[in-house]
Amino acid sequence: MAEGDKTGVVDLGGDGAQSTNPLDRALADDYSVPADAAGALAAPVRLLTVLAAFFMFFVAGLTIVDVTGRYVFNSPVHGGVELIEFALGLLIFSALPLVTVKRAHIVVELFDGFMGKQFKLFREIIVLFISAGMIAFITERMWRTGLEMQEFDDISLTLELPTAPVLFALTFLSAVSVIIQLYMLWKYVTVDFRAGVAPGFDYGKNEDDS
Amino acid sequence: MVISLIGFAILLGIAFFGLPLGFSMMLVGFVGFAFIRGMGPALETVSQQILGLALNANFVVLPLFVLMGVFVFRAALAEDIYEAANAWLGNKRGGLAMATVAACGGFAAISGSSVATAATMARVSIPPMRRFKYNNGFAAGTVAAGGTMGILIPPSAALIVYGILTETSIGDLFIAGIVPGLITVALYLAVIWGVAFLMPNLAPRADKATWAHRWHTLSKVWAVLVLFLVIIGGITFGVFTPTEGGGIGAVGALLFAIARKRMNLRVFFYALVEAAETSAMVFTIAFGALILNNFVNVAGMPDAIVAFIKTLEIEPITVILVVLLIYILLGTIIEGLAMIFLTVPIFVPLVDALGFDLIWFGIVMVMVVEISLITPPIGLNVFVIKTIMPDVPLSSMFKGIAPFFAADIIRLMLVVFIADLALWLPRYVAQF
Repeated sequence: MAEGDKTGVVDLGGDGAQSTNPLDRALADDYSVPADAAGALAAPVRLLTVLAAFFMFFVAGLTIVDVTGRYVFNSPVHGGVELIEFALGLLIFSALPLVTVKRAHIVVELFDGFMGKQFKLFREIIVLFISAGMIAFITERMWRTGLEMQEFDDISLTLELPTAPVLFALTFLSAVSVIIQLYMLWKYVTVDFRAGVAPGFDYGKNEDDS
Repeated sequence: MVISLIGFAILLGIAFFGLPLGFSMMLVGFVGFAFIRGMGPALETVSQQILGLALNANFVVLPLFVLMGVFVFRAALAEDIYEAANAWLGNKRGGLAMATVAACGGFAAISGSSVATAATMARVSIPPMRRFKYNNGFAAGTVAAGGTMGILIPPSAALIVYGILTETSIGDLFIAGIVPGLITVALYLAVIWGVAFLMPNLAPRADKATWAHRWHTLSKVWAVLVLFLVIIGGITFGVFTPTEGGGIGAVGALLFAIARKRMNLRVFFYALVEAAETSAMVFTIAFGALILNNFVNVAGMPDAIVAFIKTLEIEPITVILVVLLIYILLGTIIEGLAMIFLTVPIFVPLVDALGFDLIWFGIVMVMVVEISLITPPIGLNVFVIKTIMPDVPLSSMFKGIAPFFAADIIRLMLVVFIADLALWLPRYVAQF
């Protein structure tokens, strides 16, 4: 049936080979966006992509190993929950810069249609600046908390791992987001703003008939 | 009370200005809290809230179900579900539309997102409906409305978020969504039957499938049934937690994708990245919602509202109806998930104080969020379908949605006035 020819065109030869599946192509297009948008920061963004994938894999894998251990072998992974907690934090903060670079944060666009182009041009500067400021604020908070944990030699309950390094890792990843956000601001001001190109968002962009 | 009202005015101002919602809530929540309790405690709570969320094993459930959704999408199970539904229902009057709704319900049972359900089902169901000369608006309306079930029928991203924000049991929320979800399927089918009966030219009959073909298509969707039964059954009967269910679901969906030769290392890698990104996006806004929540609480807003309502001496159910009306109005302009984050801090304490069940309210709220996905001017599901049928004007799509909107209001009232429709099943399974 129709299903048959669809699976037939998927590339089965592993990675690398060009796929003819439209879904695959859409996927590839989507994922060239962060690196492209990141411009000079493309390399660190690619690295973050790998990190985010790794932590997602780690979280899912460990959950499964833990469940299997608990129900099949009657012995859950020792300290598994703690490792999952750390990995969740790292997962979120390594993917945060990717969300930033793709401009995928949830935004209320209700009044965008009523804003003049000139207004939107300036608004973008303010939005990028405050966004950078907010992530910088979070970064500072994590850093402080990390320092406190270091001072009190805070360790996790089960595995007795020091918690400060985890906080410092989160701080580092969060700082990368700030740098990316500032880079986007700088690029916007020097390129798009000068050229008078107001940034657009994804949803509802192509509804010109209503 | 006055401070929190000013806070909300500022929040709406900067959110509408275009600052990402998560950052807007964080900013207002932090400044407001600092204004009331001082800078030191405010700084302290920010780290507490963020770390309490980001380093909490209970919330791994979100990335896991998101990952499962990505794998389900990659496994292209949607085609098979639709084909089966179509083989059984297609030759009836309005059959292709009925098949779409049935398939949406089936897909919702393995997907936690309404937009993903609408996007996926539109891709498989719109072309056949157009081939059989269905009215374009009605076809679009069917998928848009059917797609909303993604967040009501478990697993559901919206219910997970609600559970995280209100500290209610995600497992109970999932179970409570099952019966209202089935009611939705039934009502939507009734709507289609009615429309096709009154205006047969909107939804003509398609070809009749042979019995052999019918059974064959059914044999191909066992995978979906197994996945749903294992995950939701497992969570329902307490065999495993929602988090574990998410992990099992993700691996199950991955295995189906591999078995159907829809997976390779590259696709796998990007699926992981996509799930991580979606999670980061939701967590960022959840940070903001919790920080805002803190401010709203110390400002005494929920207490003040409850006290104010008590002076009015109106029935608690009237308050609920007013809240729902506010939701439906807000939903016309604010996107679904954003609305949950914005309103939970205000309405949930109120609903709690009035003595209503928070699991029930979660289901009711998700139902109004579903409505918000298909109401103009900002109906996210409609925009998604628009990208698949760009030649059909939005106005005729919204016209096609109208009968489903009526059904939505009916089922909302059913669950509001007969709370047991949502609460009976969780209570029943709790006995085991």
